[in-house]
This record gives sequence, structure tokens and C-alpha cells, in this order.
Amino acid sequence: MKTTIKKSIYTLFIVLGFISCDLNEIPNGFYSDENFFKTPEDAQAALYYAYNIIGYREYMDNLLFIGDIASEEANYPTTGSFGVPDIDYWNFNAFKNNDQLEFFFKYCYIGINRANSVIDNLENSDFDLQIKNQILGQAFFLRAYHYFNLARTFGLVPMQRHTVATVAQTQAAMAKDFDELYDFIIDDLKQAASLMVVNKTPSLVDKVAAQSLLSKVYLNIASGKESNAALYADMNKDVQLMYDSASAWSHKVLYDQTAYHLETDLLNIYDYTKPNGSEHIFILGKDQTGKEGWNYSVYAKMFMPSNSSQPLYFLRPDGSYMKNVYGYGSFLYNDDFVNTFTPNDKRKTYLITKEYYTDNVGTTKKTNPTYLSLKYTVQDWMGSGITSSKPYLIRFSDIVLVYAEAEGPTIEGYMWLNKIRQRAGLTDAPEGMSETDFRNYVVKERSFELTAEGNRLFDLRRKAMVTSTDPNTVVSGITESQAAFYPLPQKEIDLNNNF
Amino acid sequence: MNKITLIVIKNLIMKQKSQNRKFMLMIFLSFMLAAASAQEINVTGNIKDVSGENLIGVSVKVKNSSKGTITNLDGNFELKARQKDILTISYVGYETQEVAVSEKQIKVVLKENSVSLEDVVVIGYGSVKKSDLTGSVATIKTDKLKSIPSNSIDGLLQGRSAGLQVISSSQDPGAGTTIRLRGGSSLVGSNSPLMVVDGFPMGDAGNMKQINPDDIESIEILKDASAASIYGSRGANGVIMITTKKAKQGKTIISIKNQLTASQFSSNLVRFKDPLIMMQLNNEGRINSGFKPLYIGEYSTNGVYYPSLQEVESGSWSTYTDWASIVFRPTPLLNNTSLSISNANEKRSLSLTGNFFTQQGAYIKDDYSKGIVNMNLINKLTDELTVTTMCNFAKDYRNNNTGLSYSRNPLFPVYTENGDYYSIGTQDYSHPLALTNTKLNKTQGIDIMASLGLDWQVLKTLSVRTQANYRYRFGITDLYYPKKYTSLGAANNGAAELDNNYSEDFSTDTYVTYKPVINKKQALSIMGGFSYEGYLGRSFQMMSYNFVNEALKNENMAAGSATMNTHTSSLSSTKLLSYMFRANYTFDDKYMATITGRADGSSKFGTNNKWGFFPSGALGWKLHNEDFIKDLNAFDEFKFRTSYGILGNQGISPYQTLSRFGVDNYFVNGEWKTAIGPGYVTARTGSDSRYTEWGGIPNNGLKWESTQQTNIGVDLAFFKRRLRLTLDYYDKHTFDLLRQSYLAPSSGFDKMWINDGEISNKGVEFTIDGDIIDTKDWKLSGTLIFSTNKNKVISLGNSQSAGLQTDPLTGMQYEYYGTTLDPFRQTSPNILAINQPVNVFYGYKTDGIVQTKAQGLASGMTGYEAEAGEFNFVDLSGDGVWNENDRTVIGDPNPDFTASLNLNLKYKNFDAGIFLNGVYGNDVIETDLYNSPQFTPLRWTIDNPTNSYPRLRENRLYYVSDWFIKDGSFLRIQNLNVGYTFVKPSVIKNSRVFVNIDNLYTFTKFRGYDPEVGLNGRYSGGYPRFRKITLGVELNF
Repeated sequence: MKTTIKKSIYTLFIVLGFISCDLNEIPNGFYSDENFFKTPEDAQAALYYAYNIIGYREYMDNLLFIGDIASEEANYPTTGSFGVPDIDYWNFNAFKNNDQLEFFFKYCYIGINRANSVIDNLENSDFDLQIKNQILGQAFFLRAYHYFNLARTFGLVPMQRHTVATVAQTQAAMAKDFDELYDFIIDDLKQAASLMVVNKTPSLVDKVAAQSLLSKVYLNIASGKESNAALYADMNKDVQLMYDSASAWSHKVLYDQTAYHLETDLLNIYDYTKPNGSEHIFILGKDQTGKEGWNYSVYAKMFMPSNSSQPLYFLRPDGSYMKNVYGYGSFLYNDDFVNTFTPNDKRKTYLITKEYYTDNVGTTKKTNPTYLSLKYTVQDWMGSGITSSKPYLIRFSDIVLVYAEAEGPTIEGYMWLNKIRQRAGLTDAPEGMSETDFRNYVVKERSFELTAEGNRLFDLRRKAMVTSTDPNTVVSGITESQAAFYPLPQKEIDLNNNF
Repeated sequence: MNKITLIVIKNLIMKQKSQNRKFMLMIFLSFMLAAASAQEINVTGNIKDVSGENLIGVSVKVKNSSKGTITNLDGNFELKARQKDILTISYVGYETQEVAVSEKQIKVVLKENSVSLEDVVVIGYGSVKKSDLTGSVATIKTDKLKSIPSNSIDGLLQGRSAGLQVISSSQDPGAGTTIRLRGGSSLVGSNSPLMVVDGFPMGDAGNMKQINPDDIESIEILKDASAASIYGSRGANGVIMITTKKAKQGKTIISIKNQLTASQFSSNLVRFKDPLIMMQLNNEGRINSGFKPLYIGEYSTNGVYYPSLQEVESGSWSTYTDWASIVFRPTPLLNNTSLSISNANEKRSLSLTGNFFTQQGAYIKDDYSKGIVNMNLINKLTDELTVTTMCNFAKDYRNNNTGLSYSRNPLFPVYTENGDYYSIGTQDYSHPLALTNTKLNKTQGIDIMASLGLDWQVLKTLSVRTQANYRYRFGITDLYYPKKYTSLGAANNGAAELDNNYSEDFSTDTYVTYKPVINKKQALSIMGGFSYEGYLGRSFQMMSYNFVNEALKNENMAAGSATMNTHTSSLSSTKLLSYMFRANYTFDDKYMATITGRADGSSKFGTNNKWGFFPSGALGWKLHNEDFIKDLNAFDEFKFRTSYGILGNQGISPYQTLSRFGVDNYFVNGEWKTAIGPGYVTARTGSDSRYTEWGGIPNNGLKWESTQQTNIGVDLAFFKRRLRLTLDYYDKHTFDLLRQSYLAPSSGFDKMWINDGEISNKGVEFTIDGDIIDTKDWKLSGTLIFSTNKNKVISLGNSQSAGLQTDPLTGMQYEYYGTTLDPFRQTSPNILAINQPVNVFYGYKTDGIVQTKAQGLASGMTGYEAEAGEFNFVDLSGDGVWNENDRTVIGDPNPDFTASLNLNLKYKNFDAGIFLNGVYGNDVIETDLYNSPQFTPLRWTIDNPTNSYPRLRENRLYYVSDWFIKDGSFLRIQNLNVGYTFVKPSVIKNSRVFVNIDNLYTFTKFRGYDPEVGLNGRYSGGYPRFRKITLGVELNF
């Protein structure tokens, strides 16, 4: 009996003598909340992640589709797919379920979430203040940049103020009005401007970028409210104060720093080998050595015709022939728009053409049915057109025109406007214009200067002149208030319980 | 009697002879010393079975003494006993008898046990007598599978057990199979049963190629909840238990087995034999599309000269290449050699086997080979302690050269005049010989398993078993895409890839079995224990591009352009901690009850759901032991079983409960900077994978899928158990299905994993076994198996977060399931739809062919689709327009039932078997119907206004329609084998030679190569199924 008991005890030992095991997962092979944001270098990498989202086609392509193709400037092939023709031809009923609009919406929020993760993790850190401020400032800028794109594109949108880390946080409440949304953007940009120093680095932003964007935001509100554009009209903001703020912040960009200035040679701006050019306040980071579609660029192809698989050669002002890759033929300039350029405007003669050659000596000339933009041309590429051309997100010229528009027909206003015209080889703007005429003149000047850079539709919307400008809206029968913003994606309405 | 038992017995007899001598001496001595003791007499006897055969090795013991002997080769025995002694005569598988000692020769006829005592089934963490089973467990005898050549045991299970669906849709060497038990119950998780080898849980069934089928002793299939719930969160798809062979006590046995298999196509290849017809039809298709015809004796736009019909007809263009004879092997061979050595005595049992397997694919240089060494050692340390060890080493190698085009244009030569490969145009990336000789695609794997077990019989009523298992897997894949002949290589100036992966599985379990003696009427057995399983997997992938010199292929990855090198790697680990419990109770050998439970804690589950509990219960009633049934004198067995329980499926990938960051790059001021942050790429979607989907948001509530299963079964036996019937009905309900739910886009994420949705599977399965003829010389037995399963999607969760679409005609909610299928542009021809079986086909209905344009327009079609010769689609909505709103469910790839019949005939030393397997009522989408050379000549033309085939058209858009849906029912003579077993000469006694024919003939209406396709019913051509002829020899020494 004794051995029986003994044996039973041994048995119990074997069974219970099991070392308890921890079933909590630790992240293996990937970064997670637990093992990241420990050092300033981590925060720096997270910041780059917030920049990087702009390079995705879902973001950047759509910025060009919405900014240019949806306007009177250009069209997309009607046979084209992916939902872009609906955007081009203002097929209002299709907007809610349009893939590209949903992509752009979502990718802005991906960018916001990435910026939020930097802000949330860095604000209470004890990292070196100088590094911390420069990183935080950029994160605030990017969050504002993404929200500004959302506001200009969709109007009122849900507000994600913090990193989404739980299921509950996926349900963001709508901004109650445009004031809430724009105040949030302005706060971020003011913080960004005060945290950062001037530190010109290609593909990153600094104090000047924050000041620039802030001036654009103020101008947007000022002109939107003034033009009685939808949502802006209801804002609790004073038009003059907004114009003054736009003028004050753009003034800082034009006068209070030396790192950025107007490029004297127009073609230098669009030289893909010079991302450090003096105009580039914010230029997207892309390079042909990138491994994924969002790392490298195919914008050179977007603006080139697709009817050949041989390189195209363009005659340059100096008589040389510039090689460029054959394209997709997605961006088709409207003749009507191009014809509004003054014939000797260098922005047309240098950068917009129908003529190309099949070799570098100009033997065979070909004429494309539509005008082509040469703003994204490259002379070397990999494979079938992997290039280093970098989209221009904020240029010094843009801010010059923001200042002129905000300032109105003052001496300063005329001076800066004429600097842009002179560089394009044009005569000065007619003197003695009224404030309204002057501002409308600047807005039109912006379309010449910033065409194919994702700008025009946003100008038309804040001036409430989409339907009076883009003939495609007439065909679709859309009203100005319908054209003012795209509806929120149906998926957002369906899946966000706040609706 | 099988050969092993025979050998064991023979061995015992020889051993007994020497012991007899000692025994006689002892008896002699006792005579000398104790003459006073009672008088002992010499007792002789003979023991036979019912059929009159002498029984060898029967134990004859004097009751209440240690004296005893066994019968010799003639069934005779002889011993000394006192006159009043009683002899106990016992023999494995027979009823024990007691006879009184007499001076006359004792003649005893032993009756076979109605229920064989040896019929013990392995049920996971223990075993149970088959007659005491309360759950639904099927046993597969492997001796019937021996003659069939196979890379792994999985493929041999087809048609062998009711409810088990085995599909082998690929004939590539080394290819696995798809296995489903009682239907699929998960949408994204695994649907394959859990494979357990000697107590070691190995994961999904389907390709257990590391286990030599010849090493397998028995296979048990745990089907219902009561049986499978002992595996808890891994039991939802059922469990396949494999027990490997252990040496039986006896002398050393050396066995050599060899199978040589020659394969041939069981039907003709479909291709154009006459190039003129091919040219004519091609020209016709192009003209109908408004294109310039190709075969007009001109250079086409891609710079290739296509001859005209006249040139070929006149013979001035004489090139004709028979690509099939170039890409296919005339007779692919398979060779399977096994060598086994086993030796066992009372203390030790050793079994050592080696296996070498080579298989040639249909295509040239498409090869598979593997070698396996297995060792099983059982060591009885004391009467109480037994140590078991198992070690299995497997290495395999595959040179992958599948998919070569045998339908390549025969008008072009293999080589150019100067001996280069002839390319049709500048972008010809499918030259079979160029790919065979310049592309690299091979994989190698090593799989090592070891386990150590300890059995301790603590008390008569209490035993402990503990087992530790370890498995190491290593794989390496070499790929090289040459610059000239592959598209990837051409785009990157040569592309090389080197993939490595390894994984480790460790598991251990310990359980205690307690069988208290209560009284004669009651029996109780209780098992309790725990287990731990850990997994670690790592992978490394390197890619290099842009090679100056291609000679090294992927042997030096640094030879590519440095800026284009890519490396990725991953690490993943999971843990599972479990406690299990089972109690079996029997009362009066009539009423039985089983309660089983398992608690699983998995690292994969969310923090809110770390532990899951999976209980089950079963009741059994042996009606044949009740007097009112006994009185009927009809049933040898009449057992009623019922069970209910909950099972789990933890088919989630690990780390779904953690936030997950992505890693990328951003180009800053001339250099790439590492970018890391929330959200990672989970999928690429859209054409050319142009769009990116984002995941990485944690779900703390994530848990296992749960399956509730009810089973009602009955086991019947009649005519002295010569006719046996097992019938089961089951109802499986799986809920909390793991799905990806869409999130509001403003969250910055696309999808996250959730538990939502419900699927049901109901079915009936029965097995009839019969020993039809059972005489001394003739034996005929047969098994008929029938199963049917009805699968239905009950719910797919919230229709908005699930992103479900609505069928406008019926309001049916559905989503596409699976990938796109050529030539259709629909996301997938298969859908998941509420109240429909998984994988049903969704598309248009057709009503023949449009005969006039007016008819086409009247049917609501426009453009060329309304023209004569096009498909006459049905405007189901009746709105006068034919569009995507006119789609409906047009077919179901799930079979109505599957059945198989196995007949075995034995005459003296000859044996023969035939095995038929059938599937009925499943639909197959025959994708090549529109361009197969079998059908294109039957096309619609003005002169041939058929309603069966459309006119030829090069640029037609194809829609999923019922025109492509065909009946995939078939009945196959799967196996036919004939063998002879040697009795003489005695040195190779029990050796066998046999011939087996696999896939002898298939009865089907299906006109493609073979209707046996994957679960989603997609047929894509390929090449005909093999008929395999195997010659085998098995030598035992």
C-alpha cells in the first residue's frame, strides 16, 4: 500500500510538474507598438513613413486626376478605366462608388494615421528638443497637408485626431463644420511653423513649407468665403482677415528667408536631376532605384502618348533634342485650354507641345493629336519607364501667386505677379485692375504656371467657378454646389457608425 | 492470417522446442524426487478451427498451474497433467475454451471471437476496443493499399472511408492531394483534417510525403465531435491518426519491396493534327473579329512570317513540329523501393526501414525523388516501464519543369538554322526546350522527426504516458529566369532567386489513464493530461537582377546589379497549451457513455479569448446484448451511437492580435531612408496588382472558429459478422467564421480579422462490409462506401462590413470567392452566397446560339454580341437589356454523393482486387471549351447554324455562363490488382508478386481530359490522366 501511495505521488508530480507557458504573443519579424518609438531614429523612420504614403498611385495619381483632369485643363481617355473618366466628365452619380475617389480619401487618412503616430508618440517623449521639434513640426505639417487635401476634395470629413490602435478608434466622428476642420489644420500648421527651423532638404519640409501651406489655407478660406462657395460660405471667418493672414504668412516665405527663391530659368524647375532647386519648398521623394511602384516614378509616362514603344525626342529651346520615355497617354491636354496661353508664353513654348521626333537629330517629326506636358520628362529610365521624376507639391512660384492674390492690386502684389510673368517672357499685367479683377487675373495666371501640378480644380472650387469654366460639367448638368466637393465614399457612409 | 503473425508463430514454436527440452527434464526430475505426488499422465490433443484447419501456436495451459505448451505446425500438443486437471485453451482472436484432461486424444475446435480482441482503435491519447466505441471512428486497413504506388499515404485514402473526400487534381510528381472530411467548414482557415502520426500532431493532411506509406500499420479517422474533440481547437476538420509499424515479437524479418510503375496517358492529347485546319480556323476567327488573317503568307506585326494555306498545302512550307513528342516523356516511370528490418524479443523491439522513391513527371526533366529512413525502437526497461523512440529522416528533391506548351504552333521549328532556339516573335517566352534547358526551378527539402515516449504502468489500474516530439524542416528553392527566354528575365536582364525556409515543431504531452475495478457489470476509464506545442518558422528570400554573365544562375547572388538586390525574411512563432480529459463508462456491456473535453490556450488568440474549451459527450447502446434483440437471433451486433460536441479551428495566422507596422523606404536628398510606421501591406489588388491594401490593426477579441456537430450512428452485423453495416448521420454547424471585415476608409486601414459568419454541413454516410464467400480455398469480400454532404453558407456577417454584393434578381447576398479564371473577366466564377453551397458558379444563362441579328437584339444584346453566331444570353431580368443584372447561380461544384466499391477475391495463393470510385452530381467549369481543338471545328457558321458552339472570334469577351458548365460525374475503375503469395520455397515464404493497374477506365460524360478537378470545380485542360501499371515484388526473409 505504501508503494501505491508513493507511486501515486510521483505520478502527480509528473502531471503537475509542467512549467507554465506564456501565451502572450511577442512581435517576431515585424515592428509593433511594443518594440518601436523607443529612440529619435525610430521617430524619424515613422516620419518618413508618413511622407512615403504620398508616393502611392492611390494618392499622387489622384491628386493629378482631381487637380488637373477634373478641370478644364485636360482630359483622360474616354475609353480609360479605373473610374477616372467619371471624374473627368463629372458623372456625379458615380462619385460615391468611384474607386479613385475612395482611394484618395483612404490614403489621406493613412497619411494622417502615420502622422498621428509620430505626434502621439513624440509629444511626451524626452528626446533631444531640437530633433524632437523638427520631427514633430514635420508631422504636424503632414497631418495638415493631408487634411487640407481632404477638405478641398470632400468638404466635411471625419476627424481622426489620434493614432488608430483599437477597433473603437476606427469610428471617427465628422467635423461639425468647416471651421472645426480648418481650425484644426491652421493649429497644426502654426505649431509646425513654430517648431521647425528653415532646413532646406529635398523631399522633406521645413518652417518655410509650413508657412507656405498656411498661406494657401488662409487664401482658400478667404476666397471661398468671398465667392460664397459651398461650406466656406457658412464659415465664421472674416474674409479680409483671412486675406491678410494669407498675405502675412506668404510674406514670411517671400521676405524672411534666403534658402528659397524664384528660379530664374524656367526649365531648371522641371529638371528632374535638380530636386534641390531653389523653387522646391516641397517636392516628393521618388527615385528610379526604388523597388516598388510607390518608390519610383512613372509620371514621365503618364504625360506621354502610348502609341509607340520607342523613345520620343523633343526639340528644346537651345536646339538640342531631349529624349523621353514613351508613355501611357493618360493626360490629354485640352486644346481650348492650351490656346488660352499667350502664344510666346515660355510655359507653353518650352513645356507644352504636340510635336516630337523619333530620333535625336530631328529627322522624323510626329504630331500628337493632343498637347503634351514636358514637366515630368526624364532622359534616362529603367526597364519600360521606371524614372526619377518627382511631383511638385509646393513651389515658390505658387506662394508668390498666393501672396499676389492675397495682397491684391498693390505695388507689392503687381511686382510679384509680374516676376512670374517676366520669367515666362511675358509683358507685365495690365495696370489699374480692380481688386476682384486682379485676383481673378492671378487665379488664371496660376493655371498657366501650375498646370499639370495638381492645382487647378481646387482654385476653381474656392472661386466657385467650376461649372462656368469646365465644359465637361455642362455636359453632365452638375450644379456648382455639387461640383464644390465630392460626396464621401459610400464605403465610409456604410462602415462608419457616425453616419 | 497475415504474414507477420505467421512468422511470429513459427518463431514461437521453434523457441518452444528448446524450452520443451528443459521442461521435460524438469518433469523427469520431479518424477524422481516426488513420486508421492499425484499421478500425471501424458495428454495429447489437436486443435482446429471451424473450417478444419489446424491451428498453430495455440496456448494450452493447465489451469491454476504454470504448466503449459503450445500447438505445433500440425495443430497438435502434448503435455503432462493430472487426471482431474482442467486445460485452458486460448488463442488470439478465438474464444477461450476449457476442457478436462482425458487419456484419449483431446480434439478441440476453437471458434473465432465474434469481436476480435485485437480490434483496438487508436483514438488520441489512448485507445479503445472497437466494440466499445461511442464516437464515429473509421479504421482503414493498409494491407489493401500496399500495391498502389503513391508518394504519400494521403492519396491512397481516396474512397476508403465514408465521409472522406480525397481529390488529386494534380499529377505532377510529388504533388499532394486535397482532403476534406464531412465537407469544408472554414472560408479562410484550413479545411484539412489534422494528421497525427504516433501521437505527434503534424498539421494539415494532404501531403504527408515524409512518411513512407509502407511504414504505416493502421489509420484511424476521427469523424464526429466526440472522437475529434480530444484535439480541441484543431479538431473541427476531423483527425486522421496514423500508427506506424512496430516490430512484432519473433525472429528477425528482412523485407524488400519494389514497385516499378509505368505511366501512359489514358486518353489522347487534344491538339490539331492537321495544321491546315488550325490555320483555317485561326484565319476565320480573325476575320470574324475584323482583323487581318494571320496565315496569308505575310509578315505579321510582330515580325513573324506566317505561311499561307497554299504554302502548307503544296508542301513548300514543310516545317511541322510535333511539340507533344518533344515536351512529354514517352513513358514516365516511378520506382519505389523499401527495405525493412525488424527484430523483437520480450524486452526490445526494433524496426528499421529505408525507402527510396523516384517519380518522373509527364514533362521532360520534370522529376521528383526522395529518400526516407525510419527507426522505431521499443524498450521494456522493467515490467512497468517502457521506452519508445522514433526517428524519421526524409529528404526530397524536385526539378520543376511543368507546364511546357504542347499546343505550340507546329508550323514553326524547334531550332533556327544556326542551332538557336526558334522564337516566334520577339517576346516568345514559352519555348519548351529553351525553358527546360535555361530556366532553373528546383526545390529540396529535409524533414527530420524524432520522438521519445515513456509508458509507466504505475499500478494495475493506473498508467502514465509521456511523449516528447521534435520536427525540423528545411527547404531551399532555386530559381533563375534567363534574359532571353523568360519575361521576368527579359524585363530585368536576368533574374535570380534563392529562397530558404526552416521550421521547428516541438510538442510534448503527458496523460494518465485510470481504469478502476468497480464490479463485473461496470467499467470505467478516465484519462487526463496536458500537452504543449510550439512552432517556430523562419524564411529568407533573396532576389538579384541584371546579370552580366548568366553561367552561375543563382549560385552567386552578388553577381547581379548591387542596387537591384532585394532581401526579405520573416520569423513566426506560435504556442499552444492544452489540457484534456476523457471518461468512458460502460454498464453491463450494454450502455456506454463518453465525456471528452479539451481546453486550449493559443498564442494566436486575442488577449480576451486566450482559452477555448471544447466539450463533447456520446452515448452508446449495445442492443445486441439486450435479451429482446438476442431473441430475434438476427443481429451479431446492433449498436446505436449518438454524440454531440463543439470543436475548434484555429486557422488564423499568428500576430493578428498585435498592431503591426510596415517597413518601407522614402527617398530623401539622394538616398533611401528606412520608413517604419503603423499599417502594413496585406494584399495587392487591381489589374497588375496596382493597388495596395492595408492591415495591421489588432483585434483583441479574435478567436477560434467553432463547429457544433451532432452525430447519430448505428453499427450492425449479421450472419456471424459476415455482413457488417455502419450508418452515420451528422449535422455540423460552424460559426464565428474567421473573415476579413472591411473598415471605414477613414480608419486608414482596409480590413481586419473578425469572427463572423456561419456554414452548415449535413450528411449521411454508410459502409457495408461483407465476407461474401469464405471457404478454405475461396474468399471474396467487399466494401461499399457511400457518402453525401450538403453544404450551405448560412451567414457571412454584416453585409456592409463584409462588402457583400446583392444579386438584383433574387436579393441573394454574395461575394466572389477565389481568384480570376481565364478567359473570364469576372473577379471569380465561384461565389460565396447566403443559402447556397460554398463555391457555386455565378454567371449568365444561355439559350443556344444567336441565329440572326434580330434574335440577338431581341434578347437584349448589343454590338457584336447581338450578331449571329454569338452566345444567346438570357435576359433573366426581362428588362429588355442584357447586362450584369442578368446573372444567377448556374452550377454547383459540390458532388451530390460519392461512392466506392472494393472487392477482394482470394483463391489459394492468388489474390485479386478491384476498386471503383465514383463522384456524382458535381458541376465543372470547362474553361477550354471555346478554344479546344476538340470543339472549334464544330463552330457556328452560316452553313452550320448549330446551337451548340459559337462562331470563331479572336477578340470576344468571355462571360461566365452555363455554356461552360458541364456535369463532372464519373465512375472510375481506380485499381485492379492481381497477386500471388509464395508458400514455397520456405526461405521466401509469404513473399508476393503483384500487378496493379491504376485508373483502368473512367466512365463519364465529361469530354475534357478528366473530371477530377479541385473543390472549386475549375477545369483548365492540362494533360490526360495517367493510367499506371505497376509491377511489384515483396520478398520476406
